[in-house]
Amino acid sequence: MNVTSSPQAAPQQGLARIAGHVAAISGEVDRLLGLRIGVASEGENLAQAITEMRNMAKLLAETRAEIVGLSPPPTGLGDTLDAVVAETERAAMEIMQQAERAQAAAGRLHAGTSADTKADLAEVDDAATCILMACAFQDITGQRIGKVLSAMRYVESRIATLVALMGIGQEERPARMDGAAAGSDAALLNGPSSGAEGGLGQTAVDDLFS
Amino acid sequence: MRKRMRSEKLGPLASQGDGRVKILVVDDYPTMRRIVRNLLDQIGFKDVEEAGNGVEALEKIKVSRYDMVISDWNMEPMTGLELLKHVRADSALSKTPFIMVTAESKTENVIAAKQAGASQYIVKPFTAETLKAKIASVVG
Repeated sequence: MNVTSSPQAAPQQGLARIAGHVAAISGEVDRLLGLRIGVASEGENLAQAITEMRNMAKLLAETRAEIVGLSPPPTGLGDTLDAVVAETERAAMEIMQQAERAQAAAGRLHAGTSADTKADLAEVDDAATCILMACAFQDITGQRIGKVLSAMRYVESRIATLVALMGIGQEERPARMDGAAAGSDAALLNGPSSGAEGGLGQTAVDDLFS
Repeated sequence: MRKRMRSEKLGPLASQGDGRVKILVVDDYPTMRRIVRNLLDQIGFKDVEEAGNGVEALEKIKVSRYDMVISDWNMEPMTGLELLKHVRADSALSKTPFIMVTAESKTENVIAAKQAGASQYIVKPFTAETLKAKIASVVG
């Protein structure tokens, strides 16, 4: 724990150190490659090479320590999202089941085939209550997703800083996470898009289809 | 009188299904298949079968004749777009009405589906009215 810096500043400084170490390692390698090892009776060069390698090993160990310090605490993000998937599916199933129960009772009442009007009305009412209760999943899943989001932002900001410090440009980065080639069918799998992301509404889709 | 309003709303829908039209609903989410099935049932289409992805759908389509396919796009191992292309490339199936129901809503998606021969395109989330209108437009 770095007690001299604020929790926010520490990771940034750590990333700067990582970038510095990587540059230093790179310099060591360059110097190593520049040495004329293998030429007879050049013991001095060999000793220098060993020193360079020791320096590299030390820098690598320090880099590793920095990365350990930057690793996000274990939050079980995968398990959290798995729970969201399971909870939303359970809630959706419950809501559909209750809606179909209400539809069946309403259908009997509407068609005049109800054996017990009062019981069928109560059934519709009870199903509506069950639907309301099932919607409580949104609170829990909202909290779980919030937890995942904050962890992702933590990781994202640090990776962005690292990438910037390494001088990695936009053109070097992959265009898509799944590596799908531009113009391929796979590149059409964008998932739900908001209007701001270029997603069309049904009316605009209909215009394109007409 | 909410029930009456509801039945009035579904009235024109109910006149569409004649019970003889056989529909295949393809989606990897059981909840979405159930929603579509429920809506189709309300419209009057009772003969509905389901598939969880394009491969499963293609197997069913090759064995049994369907009058309409309502398919999601983003599925593994075969997407709805690939399924559509297979259907359109098979002379025995090529005339089958195919409605894409998907959350993919970018212009490039809609154009790709249209070029591949989709009969209609519905953006998720959709309303019962939208599904009704699109089915009406493809089955006449």
